[in-house]
Amino acid sequence: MTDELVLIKELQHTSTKEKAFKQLVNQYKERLYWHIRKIVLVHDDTDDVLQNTFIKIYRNIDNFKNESKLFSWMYRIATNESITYINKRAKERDISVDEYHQEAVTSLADDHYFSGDYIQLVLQKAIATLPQKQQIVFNMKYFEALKYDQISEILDTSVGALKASYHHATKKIEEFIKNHTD
Amino acid sequence: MTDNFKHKASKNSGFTVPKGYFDSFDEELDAKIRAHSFPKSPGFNTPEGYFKNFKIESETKTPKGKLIQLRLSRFKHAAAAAIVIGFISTFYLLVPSSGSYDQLYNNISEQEIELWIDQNEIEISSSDMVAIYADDLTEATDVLESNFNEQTITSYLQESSETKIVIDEFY
Repeated sequence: MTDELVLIKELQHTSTKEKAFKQLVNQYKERLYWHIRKIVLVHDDTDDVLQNTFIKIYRNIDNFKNESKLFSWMYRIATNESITYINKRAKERDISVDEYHQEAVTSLADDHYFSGDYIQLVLQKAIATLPQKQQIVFNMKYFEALKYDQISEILDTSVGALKASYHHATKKIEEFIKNHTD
Repeated sequence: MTDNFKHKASKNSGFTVPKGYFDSFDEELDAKIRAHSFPKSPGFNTPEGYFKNFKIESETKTPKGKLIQLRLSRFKHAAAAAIVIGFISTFYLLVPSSGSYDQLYNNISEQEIELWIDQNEIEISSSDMVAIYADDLTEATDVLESNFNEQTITSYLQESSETKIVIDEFY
């Protein structure tokens, strides 16, 4: 039995759940944090989403059926939580999701927890111009260096569609950067 | 993506986290999970031995018919009151006593009669109703069954001095 299967068994057993969950949090908190942070951009929002993600994992681990990898399942929860968070915030402020992304990226220049240089800021602005799903695909492939198979399992999208999505995303980003750096 | 850009931007997105954030994350999450946890038991108890001694009461008792409370309408109240008064009057006339019928009738208020009807199950049949309100019903039937043509109605209205003014206003 692999380490992951052992961990899942422990997570699903009442007597070992607490200890196994601590191990799970330790193992995945940073990876999930950075995945969420690329989507919601602001640290405090990321912290909220990350906590909600782990709470969902804790509550629903008994329903995990081993049909996908635990890592993919958790990434999917984190992605869904991030999208839900953004949609909710945009609705509260009565603006579209695109407008929300634009506002969030504009505020990055003054964000205490963004220390990127000019080119990194322009890259974030370019990503914010993409449709939401393209943003997620681009971040997962470019920054997190996930394989298409992994992204496919997480987003429940075919590899072909993901490749096309990433290709379109990079073309748009290059065009944006070309217009904003020369 | 061009190599030039890849080199410039690198894989570092420029985002940072507060110092010690990941170290304290576990504790904060733990506190949040505990705050979100609700007890599985709702906290209700039963008397000692309740389930041990539990038996379905309907099996040990003789089944009863469904009790339907009779709620009399105002019309039925009046009819019932009339029947009761009629009954008392008949009894009073057949059995001579020292008081008169008027005295007896006046001493019983309508509320007392209605209260008595409410507290005692009195069945009022359709035939009782017809018997009491026979005159009113006959008059209503007469009107409903009569055939009025336009000429009859016009001549009636013209004969009536009160309605003449109204007719003049319309024509």
